Amino acid sequence: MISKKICMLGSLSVGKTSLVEQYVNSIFSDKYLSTVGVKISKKGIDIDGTSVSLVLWDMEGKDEYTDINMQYLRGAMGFFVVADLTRLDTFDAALKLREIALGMLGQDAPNILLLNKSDLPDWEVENKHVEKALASGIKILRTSAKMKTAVNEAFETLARDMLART
Amino acid sequence: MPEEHPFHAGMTEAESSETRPEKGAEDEIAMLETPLPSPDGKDAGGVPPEKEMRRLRSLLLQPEIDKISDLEDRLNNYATKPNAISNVLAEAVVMRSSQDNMLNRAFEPIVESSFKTFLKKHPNDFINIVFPLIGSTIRRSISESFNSMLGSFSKSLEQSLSLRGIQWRFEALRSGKPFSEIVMLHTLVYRVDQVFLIHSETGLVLAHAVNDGVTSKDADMISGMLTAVQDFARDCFDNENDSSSLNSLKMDEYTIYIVRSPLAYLACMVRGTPPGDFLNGLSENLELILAECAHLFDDFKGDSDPFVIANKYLQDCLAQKFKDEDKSAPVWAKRLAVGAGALIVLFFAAQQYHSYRMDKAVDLLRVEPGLLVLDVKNSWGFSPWRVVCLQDELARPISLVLDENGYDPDNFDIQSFPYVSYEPDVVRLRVIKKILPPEGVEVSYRDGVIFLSGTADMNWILQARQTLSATPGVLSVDSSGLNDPRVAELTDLIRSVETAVVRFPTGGDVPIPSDQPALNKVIDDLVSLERLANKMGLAVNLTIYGQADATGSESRNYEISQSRARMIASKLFAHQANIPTAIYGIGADLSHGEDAKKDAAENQNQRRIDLRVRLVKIAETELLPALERS
Repeated sequence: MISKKICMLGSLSVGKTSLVEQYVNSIFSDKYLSTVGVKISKKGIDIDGTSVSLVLWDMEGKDEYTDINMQYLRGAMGFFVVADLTRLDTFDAALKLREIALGMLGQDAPNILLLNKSDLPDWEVENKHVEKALASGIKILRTSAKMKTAVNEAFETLARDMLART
Repeated sequence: MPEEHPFHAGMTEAESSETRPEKGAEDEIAMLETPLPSPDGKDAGGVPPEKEMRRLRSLLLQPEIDKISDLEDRLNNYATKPNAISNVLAEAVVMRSSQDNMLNRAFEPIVESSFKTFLKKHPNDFINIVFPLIGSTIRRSISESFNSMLGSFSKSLEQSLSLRGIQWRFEALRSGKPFSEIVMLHTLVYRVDQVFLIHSETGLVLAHAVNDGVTSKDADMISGMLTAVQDFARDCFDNENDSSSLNSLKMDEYTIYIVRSPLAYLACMVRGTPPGDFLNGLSENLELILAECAHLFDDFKGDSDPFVIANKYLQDCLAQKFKDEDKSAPVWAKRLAVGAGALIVLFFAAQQYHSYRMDKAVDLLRVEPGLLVLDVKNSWGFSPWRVVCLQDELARPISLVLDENGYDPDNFDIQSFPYVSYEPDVVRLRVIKKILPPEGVEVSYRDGVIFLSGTADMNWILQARQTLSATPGVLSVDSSGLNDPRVAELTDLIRSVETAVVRFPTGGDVPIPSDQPALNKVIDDLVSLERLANKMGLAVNLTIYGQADATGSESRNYEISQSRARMIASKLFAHQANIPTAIYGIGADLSHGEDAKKDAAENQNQRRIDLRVRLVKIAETELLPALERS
């Protein structure tokens, strides 16, 4: 059995836990519970005939007052950085977190930037921001944990990238 | 002495210098190797200088060269000399085996492949070797399994019946845990439930082993959390040094022991308190795993399948130990306790059986006709049960009912009160007791009606009807099925008398000769009727109607008709028949009109007597209904 450690990074309240819950348990709750430390989940999937066990490390959100525990990132074989489409500051923070993670795991570590909460109106992250990020080679997906939009695709794409790296 | 020694021929200058035995000789050789000056390139004797040098060298150093050559030969060929190895092999094996088990692991693949090859080449030889052993091995295995099963059964029985077992059962009930878990908690010193081999960097599970009977959660999630907890602890204490980390975690009845290495760590979930050298054993197993699997860590990308070879070491970690049972109570105390328990169980069983039988007996009383059970008070132990009931005088005695069904009446204290039962069986009994039906009479009872059938004396029938009219439980009596055979005879006689034809000649009161026999028969029938009626308690009342034809005067006709009736009465009297008789002369019968006067035959028929019989009870005047019907 092949297992892959995946870390969820991002600012506070961008929907990391909701994405994991939606993907692993198909559950979404509007109730916000801030993650403390890290929460481990697991989901088995089949990628092109290969069984892969994704061990998801849902890490606590980072803001300007809290520092992310990079110990948890150690050994990750891929990661998501999650931003809230309605909060531009989370997009900037995600880009910074991505750089930190790549610095720790290696520049070729598979990763995807998830722009979550696409079901909400009033996006602050505009196309120009996204295009700029895309131009720099960042993989980006707009997701909605609430509507389950592109959630499975995100995890399967990252899993496929990780397997390709293997 | 050879001119070119192999040692020399194969050596460079530098090599040869390394083999020189001492410093003085070296300098000497270096000096000698310097060619002597010669104008034509030859020495004084005309011999080439190399040859001279070689000869000189041989002369000076040959013994040392030989020794060095011998040593070199030994060093180069040491491994290939069996004699030399055989001298030290046994000691070497013993020494190395005492140090570690590397020799075992080195030989393991060789022995394994050799054994496989042997099996493939000579399977029959293997069968011949194994055959004598296998029978006894199987028998031994079965015997051990049987003994183990008996031991387990004995242990279970002991735990179930002992006071301690009962306490544990109560504890299991109270805590909601399975009994087996409670037993294990109390008898276990320690047990390693699960062992995880976890990749240090990623926290992914490389291998996992679980003890028998342990339900395992998701190993990946447990290992992930363990890694995260360690990372968290390290982060909390701001400890950048990887070598110091969390060594154990305590969670409820579990302790998680962690033994680390840079590549991987072992995490053991242990219940209870393991011995002091437990962690050393874990460390040794981890070292063995790393020695065998070190190359797998280099290119680890999340695939745990290659680490299956670590499972045998993880299995070694799954140790357990139970408490010594020698501290239990002595055998005599156990036997006494078991005996007392058995007695108690027997007593309760007997008590239950007694109660069961008493219940059955009371059920019998409840369905017994004429008995109405009002109250039952069962008593503890084997003392009599008190039964309060109502009892009809016709009901069977309670003691008889109990005795007939195999119950001891002494086990009951019966208190009964009289009452009148309307139960069908009792009412029927009551009827039979009152009317005492003769043989041939059937009595049945349904819905308040007594049905009487068969043959009986008319007097008895009348008496029975009268008696039953005042019997409790009898609403009415149906005696239509009853028949007195004398009634038919009586009826026939009456019919014979009343239909007799006795005719008279014109103006005469003596029957015509042809009807004389009929007159005699009437007389005989009346005598018989009187006798039979008297036997049945009845009296016969006879009415004789004398008649005349329409010829002649009315007064004469009346007179002659009376005379004819009187003649019959006198005949009866002559035959000593004591029949009250009323005599009527009714004159001429004019019911056929005046035309009848002209018909002589008709006139003949009108000159006759008509007899009517009535039966009355001798004592009373009640008419018999059967006779009325007839």
